[in-house]
Formats: sequence, C-alpha cells, structure tokens
Amino acid sequence: MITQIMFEIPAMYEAAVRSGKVIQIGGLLKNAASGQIVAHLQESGLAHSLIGKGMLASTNPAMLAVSEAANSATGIYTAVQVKQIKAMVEGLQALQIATLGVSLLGVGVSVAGFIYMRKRFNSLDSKIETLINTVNVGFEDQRKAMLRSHLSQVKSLMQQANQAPTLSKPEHEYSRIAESLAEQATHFEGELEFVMKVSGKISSELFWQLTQALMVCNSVRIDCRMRTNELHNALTVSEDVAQGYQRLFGRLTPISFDAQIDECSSTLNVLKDITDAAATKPYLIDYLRSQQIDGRSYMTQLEDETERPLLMLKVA
Amino acid sequence: MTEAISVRSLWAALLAFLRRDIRSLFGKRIPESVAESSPAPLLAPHDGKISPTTLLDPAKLGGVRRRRKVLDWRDETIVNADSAGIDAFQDFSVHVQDLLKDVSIWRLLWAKPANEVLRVEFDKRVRLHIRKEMRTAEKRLAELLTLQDRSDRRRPSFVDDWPDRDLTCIAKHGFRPNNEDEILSCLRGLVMSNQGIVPMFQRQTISIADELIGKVAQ
Repeated sequence: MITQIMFEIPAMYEAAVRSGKVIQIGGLLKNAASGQIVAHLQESGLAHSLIGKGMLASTNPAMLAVSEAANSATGIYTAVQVKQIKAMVEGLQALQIATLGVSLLGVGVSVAGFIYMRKRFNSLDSKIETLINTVNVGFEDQRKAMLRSHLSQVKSLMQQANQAPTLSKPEHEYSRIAESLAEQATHFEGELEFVMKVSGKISSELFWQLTQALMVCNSVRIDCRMRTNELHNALTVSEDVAQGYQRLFGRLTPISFDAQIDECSSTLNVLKDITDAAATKPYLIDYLRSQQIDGRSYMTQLEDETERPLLMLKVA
Repeated sequence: MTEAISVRSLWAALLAFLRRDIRSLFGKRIPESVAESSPAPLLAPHDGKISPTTLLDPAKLGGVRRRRKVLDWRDETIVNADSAGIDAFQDFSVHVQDLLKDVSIWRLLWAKPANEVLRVEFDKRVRLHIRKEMRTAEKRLAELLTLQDRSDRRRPSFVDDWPDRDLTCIAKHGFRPNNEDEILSCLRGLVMSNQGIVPMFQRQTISIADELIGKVAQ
C-alpha cells in the first residue's frame, strides 16, 4: 500500500489546457489525442475551510463564480486567506473551470474536514428552517417536522464523525456513519424531487439549501469509506451519487426557478460543474484503488495540507 | 475407530456449517451494511479478489463532456430566447405607442381592430426577431454536433409553430389610445406567457437537448 502521495499544482497544467492538448472534464484532465487521463484535480482540507467560511457568509450560488470569488472574499478573510483563495481561483482558472461550486463539495475525493462540514450544516439547518416556513412549496406541518428531524440526525452524524478519530478503533464508527448518511442522502434526494414536482417555479433558495444538504451527506459518506480504506465501495457509492446528480440536476433549466433568469443560469452552472465533478470522481477513486494507495493516508495528507488549496494527482 | 473419526468429522462439518455466516450463502454481492461490519486492515489490500487494474473505461468520459456541451447549449438558448423576447416586445411596444399617438379623430370614433393594424409589424419586429434567434441557436447546435462528430442523419431543428398567427387575441380591441394597456397586455402574453412564443421556443429547446442527451447516454 502506498502511503505517501506526490501531488502537483494546477498551474503546471495551464499551458497544456490552453493549447488544447489536454482537456478538462469535471475534476480531471484528459489527453485530447489519446483520451487517457493525465491528472486528477483534488481539493485539500485548506480549500474546504476557505470555501466553507465563504459559504457560511453567503449561500447564494451566484457568488461562486470564479471571477467574483476573490472580490467577495476580502471582507471575511485574513490577508493570508485571501492569498490562498486567490491561489485556488487561479488554479481553477488555469484548468478553465468556471465556478467554485466544484470546490464546494468538491473536486476529487471529498476531504470533508468534518468540523467545517458540521459548521456548514448548522448554517444550512437554520436557513432551511426559515425557508420552509416562508416559502410556499406545499410543505405540510408533518413534512416540515420530518425534514427537521433529518437535519438534526445529519448534524448529529457530523458531530460523531468529528469525534470518531478519538476512538481507539474508529473504522467501525466511520462505516456506521457512512451507512446512516446514505439513508439521509436518500431522504434529501426525495425532498428535492418533491420541491421539483410541486407545480409552478421552484424556489431557488430552498432548492439550493436542500442540494447542499444532499451533497454534504454524499461527500461525508464517501469520505468515511475512504478513511476505512473501502475504496471499492467508495467507488460504487460515488458512481451512484454521480448518476443521481445527473438525473436530478440535468432536468433543471434557467426557467425552472423562481429567480431572475441570469441568476438561475449562475446556479445551473454551479450545479453542472458539481455534476461533472461527481461524474469524474469515480475515476479518481478507481485510480487510487488500482495503485493501491491507502485511503486513510490519502485523506490525512489532504487534511494536513496547509498551503495549497488545490492539488493535482498525476496519473502514472 | 475409523467410524468414530468419520462421525467426529461429520459433526465438526455440521458445526462449521451452523456457525457459518448465513449471509455467505447468498450470492457474491455484499450489501453496504455487511461490508462495513468487518473493517479491512488499513494498510492491507482489500481482499485479493479486486483487480488492481482500473475498473472504469476512460472512453466513457467523452459522454460526460458531450452531455455538458448540450446542456450548456440548451441553457444558453433558453436565456437568449428570453432576452430576445423581452427586447423584441419592448421595441414593438414603443412602436405601438407611437402609432397610437398618430391615430386620426376619424379612427378614434371608428377604430380598426388592433390585429389588423399590428399584424404585419408584429411579424416583422417580434416573430422575425425570435425566429432569427432560433436560427442562430440551430447554427450553434449544428457546429456543436459537428465538433462532436455525431453521425446523426437528422439534425434537430425548431418548428415554426407560432401560436395565434392572426393576433386574434387583440381582435376585439379597437386600435385607439384608450385600449393601449389591453392591447399590450394581450401581446405580452402572446410573447412571454406560458403558451406564448418564447416559452414554446424554450420547450422545443429542452426537447431537442433531451433527445440529444438520450443519444449521448446510449
């Protein structure tokens, strides 16, 4: 098993992407001529903490456009963090990725950083709570209560995931959490289906918050599988997640939502980037598996990264 | 003695069978919950059964890229249709207001039906404008499919199935200034409402994209 992984930086691939020799699909780069995968884009724990902070300040997906990120960052970040965000933005631009949405939850394997996930979920919880009370989307009281209950369960699971490393044998705990989050993800997917089926325009804000809840559940469950080195299972889960996103988000168009058409387009671009990143994630996990890279070491190395928010894993 | 050994081994085999995990009796597919009840050692290979070679075919990534291009075309076309409809209607509204200012006293008393006055200009300023946008979208799609080297014999195109070609929705209104709001409101509906020209164009766009994405999936 390989426990030390050599990463590169996205800027190293900029020239090849610009020249068209290499093309970007979701979170990976492919040789245009041979069709072979050249490298996988991977966020580090640092990316998560930076984006997480921004997301807590604003949950409008439109703010996730790359070009707007650096400007919107200045108010809530320290000078060092602004520099790191700019590095992340430049990394995404180098690979011609349009939105930061992919880094939201996320490119490569989701290195969840449970503490950030938990903070984000707490923020989501309060927003969804407000939204289901104010937006008329056909939520009956019983349904609202059910949604609240699921949000609470996910919050609790996040807390347990955060505490798992202090156990002498955390593997079983991670596996249990992954299993429970699979059930929660199914619930949020069902809620999204419901919001989409209700006649009239979809409440964009409620949809976005529920989408984030779904993505948090899926990201953390894959993360947990990685930590227990169940890479084959993580691969299968990530394939199912990718198919689910395609089915769910592919139906949405700029006229599906209740917001201005331009704003809806921004939201859709984020969702499309997320869908593409989800579609390429199984290829990264498959690569880790085939190279016998140790899942837990991989996650730990990403979490310990303190300087580079985005990394490239070159395919040997 | 041999018989005693044979009975003992039979008994041992029976015990082993009874102790066997019942789940192992069913197929090879291990459910998620079962897989995790026996956590693999962290630094060891999984179970030796999983092939070390890759399980996924990189060639399938082309489908992800093609799908994304089609979705981008769909969404851009929908947004463009929306702004084309708004711009065209805005332009036409100004034209209608100008015409209404010049209505003669005679026509104030015996007004012509609004559709008779406006039909030609509506075609020219609104329908043709939106049709131009449709042709541009078709052209972009053709370029996209050529780039994707799609061998579809039939290239998808929009159908000019315009609703209410004769503007019957405003036929009951005489063309005079005091009917301006009603006339423009009806025409706005004809352009932008759910059954109007722009949404019809957008629905066709979605339908074409769905068809193409279905082919990508195949």
